[in-house]
Amino acid sequence: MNILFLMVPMALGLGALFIYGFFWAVSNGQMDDLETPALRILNDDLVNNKKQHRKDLK
Amino acid sequence: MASLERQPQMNLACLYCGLPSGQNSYCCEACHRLDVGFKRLNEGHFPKNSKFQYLDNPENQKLYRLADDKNIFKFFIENIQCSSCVHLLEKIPEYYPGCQLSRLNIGTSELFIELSENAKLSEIADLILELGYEAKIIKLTEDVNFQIQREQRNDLKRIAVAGACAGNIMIFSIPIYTGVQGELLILFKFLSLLLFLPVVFYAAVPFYRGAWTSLRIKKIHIDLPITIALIAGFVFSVYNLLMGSDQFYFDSTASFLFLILVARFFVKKTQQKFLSPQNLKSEIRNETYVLDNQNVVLPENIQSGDMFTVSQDQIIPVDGELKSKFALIDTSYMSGESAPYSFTEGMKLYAGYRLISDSVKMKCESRMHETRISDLLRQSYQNLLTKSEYLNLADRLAQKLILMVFGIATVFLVIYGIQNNFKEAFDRALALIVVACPCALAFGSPLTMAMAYKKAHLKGITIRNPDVFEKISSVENIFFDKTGTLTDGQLEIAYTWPETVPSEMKALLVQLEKISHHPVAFALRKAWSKDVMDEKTPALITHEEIFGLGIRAQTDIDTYEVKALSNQICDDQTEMAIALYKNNIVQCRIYFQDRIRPESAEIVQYLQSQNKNCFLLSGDKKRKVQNVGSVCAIKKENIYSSLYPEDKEEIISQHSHTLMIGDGVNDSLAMSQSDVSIAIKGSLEVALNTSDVFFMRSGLKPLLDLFSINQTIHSTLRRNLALSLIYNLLAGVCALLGLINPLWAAVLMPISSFIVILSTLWGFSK
Repeated sequence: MNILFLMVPMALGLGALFIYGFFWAVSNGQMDDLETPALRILNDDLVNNKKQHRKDLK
Repeated sequence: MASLERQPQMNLACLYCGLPSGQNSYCCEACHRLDVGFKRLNEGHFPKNSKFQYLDNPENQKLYRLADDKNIFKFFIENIQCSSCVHLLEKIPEYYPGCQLSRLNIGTSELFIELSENAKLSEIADLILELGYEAKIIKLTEDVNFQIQREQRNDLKRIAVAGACAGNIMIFSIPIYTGVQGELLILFKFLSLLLFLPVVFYAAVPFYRGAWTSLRIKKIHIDLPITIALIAGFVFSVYNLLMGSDQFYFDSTASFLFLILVARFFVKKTQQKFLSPQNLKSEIRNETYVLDNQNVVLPENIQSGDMFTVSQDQIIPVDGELKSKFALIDTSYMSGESAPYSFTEGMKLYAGYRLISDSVKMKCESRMHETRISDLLRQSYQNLLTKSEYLNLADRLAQKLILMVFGIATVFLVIYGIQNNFKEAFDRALALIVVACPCALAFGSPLTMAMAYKKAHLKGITIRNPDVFEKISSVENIFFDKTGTLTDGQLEIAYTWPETVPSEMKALLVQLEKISHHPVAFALRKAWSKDVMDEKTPALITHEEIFGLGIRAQTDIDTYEVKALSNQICDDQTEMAIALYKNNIVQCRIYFQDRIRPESAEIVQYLQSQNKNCFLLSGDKKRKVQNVGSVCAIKKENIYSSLYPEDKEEIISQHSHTLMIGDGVNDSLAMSQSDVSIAIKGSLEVALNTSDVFFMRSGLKPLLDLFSINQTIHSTLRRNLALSLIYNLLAGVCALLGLINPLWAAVLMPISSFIVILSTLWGFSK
């Protein structure tokens, strides 16, 4: 059962990592608009597509 | 054959994106432009006299800039249809190098534009127009979305933390329930506690705020019992943990909190989507006026003494003096009278009037915030602020439930404690408080409301004030405005003399009225334009409108005149009449009426059959108001005519449980005074702003839908309450008998929550 003393911290650490990742995504505004990006990806000829993705408004 | 192919077919698919496009080849302008390849008009030059030029004035721009140091602006775009709209609008930087970034949010129909230093805002607006969209630039003061966005991000973070912690606590609770012993038991206990800390100190913070506010204003809010259950569960579990007992409520409390947070988030999102002012944006016009020095200004910026031009169909923004020879004015928004008035040079025009004739010049006498209309507005908003806070059903019941639960817990603690032992009494009383948390109230009611908003939205009703459904069930007195509410608010032909007008005469009248902006001319054109397409009309040598009198025209042999007949000739049903003269001999007379909506009578009768009193309040003349009232079967003593806005307010304030339906400035004061106020489609901005409910569908039919939705809400709420009371009763008795242990709590609480959710969804699925 001693393996639990390794597994439990790892599980908690992983959970914390995912929460951190989610916080980062939310603060970046990735959850603000869930509809438009799905449509945006359909357009393959946007010249400044990449530039736009990097440079978000907020 | 060619003509056959042009026959309209329903259900075509868009040639570009494949969505259904009705009778057209493309579903929207964007698809059309992308399919044929969009090219800027005029080699990319912008029109010289753009109607957006006012946007380049730095003073005006200040009202729109989203941040002081950044050139970011926000537009509200109408008619967003499909992915092509996203495609086209986000291509703006390609068409216009001065634009650095263009991002569309299809959910809110908002377009963010970032401009470089030397780019012109007006040119962007022109470009959007050229792309085929109606764009409205959003004023900073009207922008509530920024605040909402920040709130939403925080809510999401809280949900993530609560969800992750609840899930992990459950995993660590399983060994405890299955009877692990020794070191591992201690490890899992303390892990549960550790994971519960973020829930108590981070995720649940909004509930503490709600509870604190409810204590401060001494009104019990649903957040209070939730907070108490949470804190009680926490304290009780920590106490047991330290005392070496295994009675924990960490898992059930955390998962319960997670569920409430998710439900609240969902409710908030639906509310924002359907309550949001975005729904109203397309009804609000961005009016600008041209000063004599050619500056284009917003109504807020017109100074006393300024000469400016009001163009046709615009609302007069300030009180002032007419400087042109003649103006035809629709005063119905202010007075409720449907017939237009003629004004001559030097007469005083009040803000809120609408200009019907061609553009006129006027001189501003008092700035916008000093006008009569803005007095009315201020008073209306004042009324809104002082409107009594309505304690909603969920809160009222929470109040009773919480008193009951705490009462029982205390009595039990004392009696059982004296008879048996205090430790056991304390355990059971706390179990009662934790288990009997009012989940039906906590998210059954908000979910019901969210579903109601959604349903109302589908029926073309925008709810602007969440309290409406609470208040509408107690409404007893319903007040209608006449012009534009019970009636169409537009003139149409009532009857003619002779009974049938020969079609060459119709053609002649349509031709003569072509130059006129009088409502009569609109009514004639609307009624007859189609009939007389193929008729030949005589060639006119002269053709002029004599303001206030009529129209005169000459052919090489005859003189034709259209004259308004005096009001004496009209009876109760008709608003006005005209006659066509040929060489001074009457050819025909046409009478016009402001038609009563076909559904008005039916709706009034339905409401009266539901034991509600219907009233008619109008600023119009007694005769006409009484006619409308009798057609709709409103009781004689309930009909009031020739009222000023203040009179309407006075009448409403003498009654209780009131509902007012109107459309104009003259109604806004009364609407702000009534318990529930409804603005119908086509209302003026002022009426929209003071209303609780706004009908996006024209006519009065949505009123019936509103009442039926209200009934659904109440039956659903009642069922939820019954279910939760049964649950609370059973769980409470079990808790007091000492049958509830933490495992049972963890099983029972989610089950009761899901039953309530299912019951709500079922209520609205019909």
